[in-house]
Amino acid sequence: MSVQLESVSFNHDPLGHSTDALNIRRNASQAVAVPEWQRGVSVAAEDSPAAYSLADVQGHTVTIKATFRRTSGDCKCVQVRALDMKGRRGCLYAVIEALGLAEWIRPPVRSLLGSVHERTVCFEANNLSGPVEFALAHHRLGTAGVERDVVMWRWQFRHGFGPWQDIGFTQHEVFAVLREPTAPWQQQPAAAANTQLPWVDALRHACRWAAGTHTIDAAAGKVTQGVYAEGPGLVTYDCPGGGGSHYSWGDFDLTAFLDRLGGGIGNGYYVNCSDCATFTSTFANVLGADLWQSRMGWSFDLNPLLAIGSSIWQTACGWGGFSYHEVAWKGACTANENIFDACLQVDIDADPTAPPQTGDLPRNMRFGNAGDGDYRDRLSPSGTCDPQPASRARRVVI
Amino acid sequence: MQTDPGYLAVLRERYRYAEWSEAAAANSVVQRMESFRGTELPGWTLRRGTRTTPFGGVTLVRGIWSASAAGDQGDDRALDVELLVCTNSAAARELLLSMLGDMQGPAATRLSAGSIGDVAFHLGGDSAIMFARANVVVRVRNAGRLVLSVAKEAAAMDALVMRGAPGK
Repeated sequence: MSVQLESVSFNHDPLGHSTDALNIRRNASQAVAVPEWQRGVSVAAEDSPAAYSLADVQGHTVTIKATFRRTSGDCKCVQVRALDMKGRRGCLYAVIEALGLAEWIRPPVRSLLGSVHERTVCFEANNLSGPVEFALAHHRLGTAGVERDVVMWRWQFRHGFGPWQDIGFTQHEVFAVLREPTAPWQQQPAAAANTQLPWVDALRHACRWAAGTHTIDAAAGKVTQGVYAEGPGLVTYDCPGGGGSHYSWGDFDLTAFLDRLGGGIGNGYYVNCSDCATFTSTFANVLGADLWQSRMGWSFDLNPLLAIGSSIWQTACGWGGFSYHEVAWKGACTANENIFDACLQVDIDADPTAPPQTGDLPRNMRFGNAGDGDYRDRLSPSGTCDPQPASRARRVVI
Repeated sequence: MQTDPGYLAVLRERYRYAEWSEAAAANSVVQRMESFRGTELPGWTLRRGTRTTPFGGVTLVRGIWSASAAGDQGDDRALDVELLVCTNSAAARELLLSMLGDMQGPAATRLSAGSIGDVAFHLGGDSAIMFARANVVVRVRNAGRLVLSVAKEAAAMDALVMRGAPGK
């Protein structure tokens, strides 16, 4: 008797994501086919991606669907399970135990999806099982924060109460986001032509920047920090171009930015505030935040600031003022809402107009009115630096 | 993103839009523009070329170009070249104004008539040049760590537009 694993589906219900994975795609040009894991097609973990909305699966039994083939023997039904190779009962830890090292080496944190609970699988006359629903056991989706994990499963079967026999090993790239992604990201229609489904290539960076966060504000703050920290190595503020946008004039050229993050040329070295606001909100929103790109203006003086990629406190590029500025902004994008600004650090001491500076990257900082001591006062001493909520947008990703 | 009407009013005044919004336009009108082939800028290598429609009926042909010289590291010398094809010259002027408004910094300076395009603006040291020629808007900017004058390359793009656009 032998059994072969044919496929594994994580996103087996495209209309919901409370018991299964989100609808995702790889990037602008490549969809993610379901079943995500297919025998002979999927090799590396990255070949089989899945993403879960932690808020949506909370309290539900999370399931996958798998298909099997009977390759020899005539047993009608077998028991099937998959062990978490990272957990105490997994292969990797078994080797450690066999070497007598378990006393000194603690078992690794079990994988995000835990193991696959055993159940009966029956075969049809064509030797195939059809998609069989399995519940996940011992997973961490109830306690995890933002995370990217490689899930490694050791699939096994047995006939009756016989010994478990190995079917094979699979690995999967799994993301945990806090809530369902918000615009520009979509969940419907769940079609290959929908380029606004969350991109795996974006999830990798978003989960790297915000790893371990459990709240939306913390995640958005970490994304803001992550974007700012890409300067000056990968990006810097656009002084030679007058502070023009290079990735977000019109749509968000996320493909170019991902190329830049991956070491390619992208759309070049320079960014402006619109770019940073778009990076921040788009990557935070794929984790479940709900941020806009919105502007203030139209023409105001600046306090000394520390622009992305710069190590010098000065008014941006020494210009003295901005004609406008754009940030990632909550809600109605008015003075009462909070902002995230990955473009610049402001001085948060008693006098933001003069040295010495106490720098802070604005994360979840109230915009405020003149004289409130909030973001607006930190950024600008005078001029028309009013919220312009009519400008709020969520740029489409291309 | 549409330019906010209030901001547009500021831009019209800052750039004296009334003076050039209806200035004479070149006769040649580019009907269709293909992606860059890589031969348009001698001495430069096309690293990334795209063709998109970011503003309704406007086609954006974009190229990120690099050049290397002894002692350079990575993409020290790089250019970002954008050509946008509008329906007519009036639409191109409006788009040029929006493009000027894309800059957070101080106002760009208008170049004298006849230097490049039908109407053109630049930043100090020609580190960025933007112009409208007939129904096409062109922006040439630095994209690498070393800041270069882009005057020669902007002129090459103007000549290209006058000939009828890349891909021809």
